[in-house]
Amino acid sequence: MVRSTQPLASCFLACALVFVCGELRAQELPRLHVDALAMHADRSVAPVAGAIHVTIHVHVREHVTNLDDLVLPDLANLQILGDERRMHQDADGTDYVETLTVTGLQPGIGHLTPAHLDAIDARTGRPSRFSSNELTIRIEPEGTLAHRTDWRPLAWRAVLMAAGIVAGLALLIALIRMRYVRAREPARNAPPVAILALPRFEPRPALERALAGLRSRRTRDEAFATRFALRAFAGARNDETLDLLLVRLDGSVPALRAALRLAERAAFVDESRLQLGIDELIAAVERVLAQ
Amino acid sequence: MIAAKRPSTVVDAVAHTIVGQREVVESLILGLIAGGHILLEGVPGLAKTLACRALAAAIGGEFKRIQFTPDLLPSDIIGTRIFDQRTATFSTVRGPIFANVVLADEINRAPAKVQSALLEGMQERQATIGPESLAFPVPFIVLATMNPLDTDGTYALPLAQMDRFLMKILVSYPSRDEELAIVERFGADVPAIVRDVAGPADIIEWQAEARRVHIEPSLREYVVEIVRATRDPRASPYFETGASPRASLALVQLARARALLEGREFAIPDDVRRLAPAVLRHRVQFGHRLYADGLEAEDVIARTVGAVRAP
Repeated sequence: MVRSTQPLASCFLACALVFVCGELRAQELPRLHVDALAMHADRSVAPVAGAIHVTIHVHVREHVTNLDDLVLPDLANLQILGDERRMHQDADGTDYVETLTVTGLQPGIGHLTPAHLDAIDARTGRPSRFSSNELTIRIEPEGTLAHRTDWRPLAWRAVLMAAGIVAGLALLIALIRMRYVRAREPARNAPPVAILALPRFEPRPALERALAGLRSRRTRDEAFATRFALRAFAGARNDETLDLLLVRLDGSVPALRAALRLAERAAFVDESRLQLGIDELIAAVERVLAQ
Repeated sequence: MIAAKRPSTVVDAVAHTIVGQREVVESLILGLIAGGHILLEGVPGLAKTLACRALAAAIGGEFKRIQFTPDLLPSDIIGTRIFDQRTATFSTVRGPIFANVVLADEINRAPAKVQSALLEGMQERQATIGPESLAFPVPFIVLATMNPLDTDGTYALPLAQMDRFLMKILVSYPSRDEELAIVERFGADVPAIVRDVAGPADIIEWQAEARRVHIEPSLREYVVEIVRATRDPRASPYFETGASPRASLALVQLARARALLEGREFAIPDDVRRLAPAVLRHRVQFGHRLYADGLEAEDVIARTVGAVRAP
């Protein structure tokens, strides 16, 4: 009896194809240090047709222009009304915040699956999937919430607020501990971190930090970070190049204009002139901060 | 070695003759430094020819103008061999392409065979006449003009041939004040042309200097991202054909030239951003959606370039 080898070969070919496709996909993934991937909603209970803002926050240490591999949560029985994306870069990396405005059309429970991001984990060099937390939102019939708030005593609200503060503190402690543990042993998958609010960006302290970094580590990366902080200090928009920015800034800030030009020089000059460029940039930023 | 004369002296010399049109004048110098050829598009009477003539005079180079017509032949551009009856030998007569600055006026009025002869010469920087291969003088730049109006009876340049031009400059009408200055300055006299502020040797030196201008890797990535955005339907759904890698090379060359013109030894994102539309506009094709949505090609290019985050 002659046994056909065709099914076996097909099976092998299919396996090889899956393997190759997986490899190709992995090669396309961006290499990222994912520090945070969290999802939260501004309310966990909402009336029918009431707007709920679901915010997905990602923080990566690299400066990226997009996060195409971020997969948004499955919204289950909720309907999407809007989607707004913001990206902010500073010396620590990139903050990506996507806010989905959703609404429930029927009373019930809406489970939002975790958002996830596929990337090569820069800590381990392996393709990984970083996932956020899940969310559950309760949709109540119209009028129910209003009715409840009518009889709720003020004392009960105070208790709730106190509980919220305690929970916030506990979360903060947990975050600090988590950061400490992560620093000791890098995890393959970044644990989901619930971010309640993004820290407010202060241009002046950021510029001071960048300058201190440039003084201690005189590298091109630090020059870039200082240039970024200086541009933020000058109120530059993401799409503004130096020429456009200088046109917008009037002549009343000569020190800032000079510093912006020198920042460009320090960031893009060749290696042989880099140290001189850094010296000039440090002096120029000091003059800006002194004013 | 750094050339004693700087490129900005040529810009100033040409600008002395041409009122306004600073971007056009700068682009001519950039093309010369980057070693590429330039396509100028604008309605008649905007001093395109005068600008080219002024450029040739300023660099002390030889200037030739070829008026493209439907009956032009390749030999009218390249040259030919003529039999001399006295000596019973053939002698080579060089065509007008053998000059430092060649103005191909209304390039789209000649048939494809003639356009190809010119474009081949532009690429190879030499021409073969009979058994002889003759190199063009150095520096060599072709400035071709196209009139966007009166397109009846013209031969549109295919995209592959447009790609040979380093950049395409749109020459627009002067402002009111500039037009007043033109009337005052040239109302009666022949425009004064400034001559020999630099020589061909200076241009060759500037070209070498431009090649040494530093381009940071992040800037190279920026260039590639801009060009790739024209091929990415997610970046803009209006492009039917995106720009080729030759556009990336052209953008890097021109960014270096602009840095040199501005007296820098390194290129910055502004160099790339400013020059990207001129490098891309003749290298892309738009689909019907652009016209259906009532958009302008220039706006789409500007928006696509602006959407790429600068380093």
